[in-house]
Parts: sequence; C-alpha cells; structure tokens
Amino acid sequence: MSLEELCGLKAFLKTTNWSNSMRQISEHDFQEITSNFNNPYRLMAPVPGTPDLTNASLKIDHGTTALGFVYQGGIVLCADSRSSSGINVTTQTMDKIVPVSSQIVGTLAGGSADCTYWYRVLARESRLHELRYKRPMSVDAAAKMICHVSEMHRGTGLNMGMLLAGYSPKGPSLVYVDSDGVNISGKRFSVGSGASNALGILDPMYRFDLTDEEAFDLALQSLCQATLCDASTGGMVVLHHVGPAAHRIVRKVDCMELHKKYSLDARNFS
Amino acid sequence: MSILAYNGGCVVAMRGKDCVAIATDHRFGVQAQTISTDFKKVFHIAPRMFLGLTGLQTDILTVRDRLMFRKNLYETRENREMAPKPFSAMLSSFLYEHRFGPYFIEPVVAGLDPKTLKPFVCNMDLIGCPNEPDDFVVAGTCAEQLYGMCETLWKPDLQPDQLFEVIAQSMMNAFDRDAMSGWGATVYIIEKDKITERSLKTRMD
Amino acid sequence: METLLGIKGPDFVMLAADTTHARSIIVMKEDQNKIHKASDNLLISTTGESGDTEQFTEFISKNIALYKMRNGYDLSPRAAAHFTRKNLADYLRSRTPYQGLHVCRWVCFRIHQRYDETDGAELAFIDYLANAKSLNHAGHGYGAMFCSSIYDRYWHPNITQDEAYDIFKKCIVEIQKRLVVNLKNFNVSVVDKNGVRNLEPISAQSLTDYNASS
Repeated sequence: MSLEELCGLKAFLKTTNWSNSMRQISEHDFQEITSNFNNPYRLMAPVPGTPDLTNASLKIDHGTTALGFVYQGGIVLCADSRSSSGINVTTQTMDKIVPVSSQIVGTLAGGSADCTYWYRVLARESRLHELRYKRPMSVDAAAKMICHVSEMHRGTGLNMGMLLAGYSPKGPSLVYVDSDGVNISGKRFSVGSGASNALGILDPMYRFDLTDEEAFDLALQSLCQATLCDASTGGMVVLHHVGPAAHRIVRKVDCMELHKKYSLDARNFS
Repeated sequence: MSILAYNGGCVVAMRGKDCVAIATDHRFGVQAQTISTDFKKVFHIAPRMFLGLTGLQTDILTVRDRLMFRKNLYETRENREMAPKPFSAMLSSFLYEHRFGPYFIEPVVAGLDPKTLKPFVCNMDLIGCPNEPDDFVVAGTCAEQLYGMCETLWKPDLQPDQLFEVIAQSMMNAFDRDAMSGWGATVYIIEKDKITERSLKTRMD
Repeated sequence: METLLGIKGPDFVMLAADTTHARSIIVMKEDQNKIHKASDNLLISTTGESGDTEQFTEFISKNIALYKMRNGYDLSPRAAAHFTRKNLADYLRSRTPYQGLHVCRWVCFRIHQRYDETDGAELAFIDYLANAKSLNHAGHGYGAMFCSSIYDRYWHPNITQDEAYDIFKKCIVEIQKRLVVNLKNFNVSVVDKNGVRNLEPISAQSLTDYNASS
C-alpha cells in the first residue's frame, strides 16, 4: 500500500500484516495518526530516511499579486485569482482573499496549500477566541499566530506571504506576515510575484484621503497592471473593502474588462 | 525553469485541404516579466513557406539569420525556390551540427511545395530530430495543451476558413492555460494563390 | 544593482542611467556616466560587471567608428543593434579565452539607442544572453522592475521629450522609494535630429518637491 507508506504508517506500525495491524491499532494510535485533526499544529513529521525536501523543486501552486492599503474610508484588499504550477495555469478562479473572521480578512500568496491550511487553522483559532473571551481576535494577534507557525516550521520549505486586514476599536490595521516570520504593520503593502508592477501604479497615486471610489479604482488599476506585466498573475480581479463594521466584496471582475477600461494595451502600438 | 521556457512563446502549424496554417503568440518575456507583446515567432522565408521558432529568443534570432543565409545560398546556387522538405532537411542537419552545444529552440516549418502544392508541416526537437506528420505540429511552452486542443479539434481536409477557426481556437485555449505564452496571436493561412494574415485579440494576462 | 531606463518617442530616444559605481559593499564613485556617445547620433548604455561593460562598450563604439571611416557613412541604428547583438551572441557560444563565456556572462544588460535621419528613432533592448528586441520603452536592472508599469501607463506613441523626462522622474521617485539599493543620481541624455544632448540629471535632491501623482 503506497498510501500507507506515504503517511508513514509503516514505520509507525512496525508489522508486516495489514489485517493484523488493523486490530492492533488502539484509540491512542489513531489519535497519533490523525493528530492534526485535533491539534492543527501537529503535522506528521517526515518518515525517517525521507530525503530533505527543503530545496526540492516541488511543483507547488504559487504566483500571485495581492495588495492592500489603508485610507480614510477603511482598508482595501485586492488580489488576482490565477494559480499556477510551474508555467501551467492551474486555475483562473481561485479565491485569494479569504475571510478569517467577521473582523479579519486576509490575502494569500506563496504556496496555495500552505496558505489554505493555515488560514483554516487561523479561522478556527479566531472563532475559539471569540467564544472564549467574548471579543473578536485582533489582527495583531492573528498575525502573531502565523508568525509562530512560521517559527515552528522554519527550514521545512513552508512558503506563504499574507496580508491581514481588520478593524479594532483602535482603528484599522493592516499587517504583512510571511513564512520567514516577518511581521510588519503598515499603511500600504503589495505581495507576490507581480508586486513591483502593482507598486509602480499604487505608490505615486496613493493618498490617505482618497474617496471610496478613488481607492477602489486605484486598487483595480494597480492589480490590472500586474496581470499585464506578470505571467503568473491573471484571471479575475477581486476587490475587498474592510470597513469599521464589516467587510465585503466590492467587485469581482475579469481582468480583460479592466484592460479594456484602462486601455493598458499601450505596448501594442509599435 | 528550463532554458527553453526562459522567454516563453508557442507556435502551432496544421495541414488542411490544399492549404496549411501556422500560428504564433506575441509574448516576449524574461521569465515571468513580460517585456514586449509584439514579438512574432513566425517568419516568412519563401513565397509559400513559413518558419516558426520557439525557445530562447537569442537563438531564435541567430538560427533565423543563419538559416536565411544558407537558404539564400542554396537558391542562388540552384537558381530555384527552396521547397519545404529540403529546407527541413537542411534545418535538421544545421541543428545536429550543434549536437553538443545546441541552440535552445524548437522549430516548426509549414508550407506548400512550390511545384506540387502539397501541404507540408514539420517540427523538430532542439537537436534536429524531424517529425513530418500529416495532421499538425506544435512547439513551445504550452506544447502539451496544444496537443490536447489540436487532437480534439483537427480533422482531415479542412477548408482554409475552417482551418483558421480550428487553429485559432486551439491556440487561444491552449495558451490561456500557460503563463508564459499569449498576449495576442497571429495566424497565417497559406493557400496556393494567397497568404492570409490575421491577428487575434486575446486575453492579456 | 545598477539601473538603466530608455524611452523611444516619434523623433527622439531618451536614456537615463544611474551614476553609482559600486564594488562589493562600497560605493566607489557617485558620478559615473554610464551613457556613452558612440557616434554623432548613437548612444550606448551598459550595466553589468564593470570591467567587461567598459571593454565591450568600447569595442562596439570603436568598431562603429571604424565602419564610418571605412565607408564614409554611419551604420544605421538597426544595423548597429544587430552588430552588437551578433557580437554578444558569438561570445556566448565561443570558447576562445578572450571572447570566452566567462567574459560575456558578465557583459550584462545593455540598451543601445540612436536617432537616424532615415530610420527614425530606434531603441534596442539587448540582454546578456543576446536576447534582443526593438522596444518603445525598456529598462535593465532591478530598478526597471518597478518601471514597466509606469511606462505602460504614461507612454503613448506621440510622446514629447518633456513628457518622457517626466516619466523618468516618476520612475526614479519609485526606484528611490522602493529599491533597497541607494541610487541617488541619474544622468539623462537624449538623441534626436540635432544629435546628442545631456539633460539635467535627476537626483534625490532635484525630486524633493516633485509630485509624482500629477
């Protein structure tokens, strides 16, 4: 059974006969094997003798542009929806902006699996926090949690870059965290392979006192530019607004429509 | 990333009834960064013959220049137009000359024989192993996707306008699943008495 | 680490290059001009390993000068770009010690441009692999990563020299804001039907009152 080997069951069971071994598995053993269902931080350690995969070129989904900024009307988050594995486009409709709780939204960049998993864990933690302490988890706390995860998995090849946005009674906060354990809060960030392209538009045009419409337009323009210049950015452009009370999807639009709107095909004149 | 995928791009050629079609995308990039969207990888090298080259752009230019030189020399010496078949043979041996330090390109040749007007398509690997099927040939970063699309859409004896539709759809749907190709495309339909060039407006992401 | 920028207009080409000359972690020189005048209406700018850029640029410009002496007329801009590319491509695959791979690997990124009465403006982008493309706007180096979006947004086919200069300002503001390397000063040159002119350099100081969003 290859799956058994892959999961490390063989090393764990130390018996040759499968049907016998099934009987021998106690409840404790099952808990060991499925440990991350109960404790998400407990991932199966690699089977002894497994080659070091840290630098292996695994074909992991990656490539993104995500940006976020704080302005007078709240926080804007914007991301594309392309997920690519190597040079192949895996999907054009991936949700890269995910709600963590009623207060916090985040964008994901880097390894999709890493981000998806840890966002799920984060969502669980923030809900438990709400139930335990009767108040929502702060963005800083959420960011700290991801930092700890990064710290725990240092050198394992974990790969993620996240923007977390949310409101606390003190005001809006936007934090960048990644798998190196970096945790910085700020007013304006862009993450992913197309970040430099997006910043080229975002930086000169950004002001704190933008109106809602101006802010949305700026985010869309910046992201749209990144879809044009960066090969691993594309598909739908999704725009989230995080306000004091709630967050919502403002727009979800195919980047081709944005290209037409902002007529970014300047390169085609020649 | 393979050196063949450094600049991105793809080419496909198809046979129809008394015609051939060849299509190219427009992207020129340096890895993920798109530098230009008007680089056509297909060159008109004889009245009824086109050469498509995908791979490393520097080698596309070098190979094109060197092949043109050899082809012109042949035509001067023989005093007749070079047909696609001998051209492919020449290309193949040219590439094999560099067996141990190859040009990082994958060529596609499409054309009609100047005398018999028989359609001809051919592709090669980077060291010149020729492949002359009677349906279609593909090359570039989205070769797998192109094979899938062509395999589904192509059928024998397509008329020029049908062939255009098939090659355009194959191309566009293939490179929409490839990050390194796209940003517009051009299709050339070669018939015995005319060549039609059509630009396709495609997704720009 | 160095940055080159170039913009082509209908009847001119403008080039900007940073003036920092760094060796390992030390800035050796702050006013190095990296835009070389190869002939009356031809500019070459190169970045890369400092010794090799110097050698290569000189080799190309002197050969272009030689061509003019021998033939009595200048190499056309496209021909000059082709000559440069050809040399670079040949170095890439040769094994002779002088023109060997180790040389060309460091003769990195270059932009090559010129204005010609018959052909109009030409801006050739050539990188260290001898990938070459005639472009409307181009850049080399890390700084250029921030500029492609700015070019796309502000470049248009009928761009004037003032507008091009302004685009460079926008690019340099962004580079100085986002790039970790300190590129304080940029030389700007333009070539048009009147020949080559050096424009006012763009520096951190001259940009203090500049509003990039206008």
